[in-house]
Amino acid sequence: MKHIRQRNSSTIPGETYAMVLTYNWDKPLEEHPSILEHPEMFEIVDCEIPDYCVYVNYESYDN
Amino acid sequence: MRKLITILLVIIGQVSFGQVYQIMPQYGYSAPRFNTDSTLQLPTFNGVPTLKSNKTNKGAIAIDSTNGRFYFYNPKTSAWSQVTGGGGSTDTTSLSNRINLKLNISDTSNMLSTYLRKTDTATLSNRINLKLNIADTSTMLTSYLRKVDTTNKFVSNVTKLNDSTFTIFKGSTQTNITLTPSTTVASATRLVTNVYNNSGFTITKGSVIYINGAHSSNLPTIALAKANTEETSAYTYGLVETDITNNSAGVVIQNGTITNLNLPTSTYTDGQTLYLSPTVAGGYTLTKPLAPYHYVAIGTVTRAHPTFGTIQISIRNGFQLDELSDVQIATVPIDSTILQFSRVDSLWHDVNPTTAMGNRFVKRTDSAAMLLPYLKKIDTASLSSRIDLKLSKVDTSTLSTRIDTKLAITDTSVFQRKNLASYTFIANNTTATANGTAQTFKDSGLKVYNGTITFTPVAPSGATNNTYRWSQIGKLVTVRINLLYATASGSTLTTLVASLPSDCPAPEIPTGHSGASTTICPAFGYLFTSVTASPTTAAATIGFLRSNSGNNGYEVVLIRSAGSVAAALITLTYFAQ
Repeated sequence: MKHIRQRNSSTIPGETYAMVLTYNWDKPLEEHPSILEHPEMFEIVDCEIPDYCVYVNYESYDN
Repeated sequence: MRKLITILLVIIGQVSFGQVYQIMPQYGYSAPRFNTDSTLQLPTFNGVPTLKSNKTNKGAIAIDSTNGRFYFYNPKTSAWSQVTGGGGSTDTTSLSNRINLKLNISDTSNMLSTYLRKTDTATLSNRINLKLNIADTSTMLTSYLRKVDTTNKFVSNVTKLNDSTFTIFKGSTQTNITLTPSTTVASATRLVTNVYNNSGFTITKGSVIYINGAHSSNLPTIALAKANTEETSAYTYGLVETDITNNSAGVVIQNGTITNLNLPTSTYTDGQTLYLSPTVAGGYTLTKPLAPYHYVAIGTVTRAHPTFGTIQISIRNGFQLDELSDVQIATVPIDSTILQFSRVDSLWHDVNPTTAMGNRFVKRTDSAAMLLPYLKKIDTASLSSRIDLKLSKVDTSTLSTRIDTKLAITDTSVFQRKNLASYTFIANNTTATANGTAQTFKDSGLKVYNGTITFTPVAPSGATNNTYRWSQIGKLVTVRINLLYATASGSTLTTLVASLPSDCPAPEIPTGHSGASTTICPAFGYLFTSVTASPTTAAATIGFLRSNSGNNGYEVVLIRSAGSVAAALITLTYFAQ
């Protein structure tokens, strides 16, 4: 599933996989503030989300 | 010439004295070898003599000079016989043998008939009877008695008084003579008694009897014993040796062995004790009779057998209480009396309970004043009231039921209840003293945290070590959640939201706190970079427990000023529902 994750996320069980919460975002993921404001930290990927992932509630500087 | 003359003289001499043999024409003419001078000289022989001539019609005598015997010749029998008698040393035949030659014990009457008088035809007994008859009376015998005999000097009758005594009758006098054995009897296998059965019926072998009187024969009379009354059991005497028909004497065994009884192995076993039967007259039973029946032990089965059954008899009569020598009670004591010992006469007496208690013990009739010395001075409640405090007389449940509420019958220990419900302890959560009730006690132990975690606006990364543990004591729940990451987040992290582990007890929702994302109670926590470094002020957070956005679970929220975070420590205390 296409989603935004922290770039330092790991798909190894026991390590951290951080996925950005976008369930309230109805625009393309490329327009999400996390991508626009911190592309060095977040990226858009299209892969399975591991069940041990943690979530990131990204708050834009504009808020 | 002289010679001629001599020869002539010799010839003349021989002719003159010579005799010519000729048959003797008659007695006394010729007697060769017979000579008489001062003695009579007879012819001698060696052994039995023989006649020289063939004349056998004349008697002769001769001497056997070799054997020193004297013989005579009997012309009628034509035989020589030795003349015997005179007690010569050659007479060696015994008198009995010589008598037998004349009269032998094996001689038949026919053989003896020649020696009997032809007119003697009566038998010897008949001929004795002619002199003294068994039917003769004393009067008839009087003439044969010595003149010095007087009255009561002769035995006229002898009777048996008992096994060791005879009664001798002499005229009008009688004397008892007891036979005393010359030696003392060292042992005996049985003790028996001659008895008389006048019961009206035959008393069979093995029947248990008692002595109920005496007979004119001086023998005790017997009757069948039975353990249902004192009269028929107290004097139980022994067992009948063999059947005794009515109006006959017989033997009873008091002690010792009786054999050949019907004691089948299906009923009896060797060594069993037999008791007088309370239901069968004269019978015995294996069951010990208890009151009101009477105890009489009969003996022991020494051989159980249907035909050769054997009992070792040993009668042991039980006693009634009033038969004991140190008991003095009425024949029929009044109801509800008890036995009390008196040192005055060293006897047990039957007394009523009140008399027995006297002034030594507390009685139901004693007044409260009489009981005062026995009560504590501060005691004001009656004994019954104080007992009621423990166990009231109005209690309707059974004692066992009420005890079970305190200590169940299934308890395996008096002082330790081992069967507590799971995850409980016993406590009293009331305003008064009361029995404990089960309260929750549970500790989850350390577990791996797999709940939902949300960081804002960035998350730490790397290897994780997330754990949690919670405990509940009563309603109070304490939760600890530790989330450790290898790599700290960026310096902008401000918020952590972690779901309450699903196995934690559901929190009690305070009144007015209903709805999604509603804060329930505070939580305490740090969000900082490393657990190895002391948290700074910046690590402190605002924390709380709230319902989640879906209002279907609970989550813990920690908020701090923006900073780098690699560890989150949460401690939460709340009340369970």
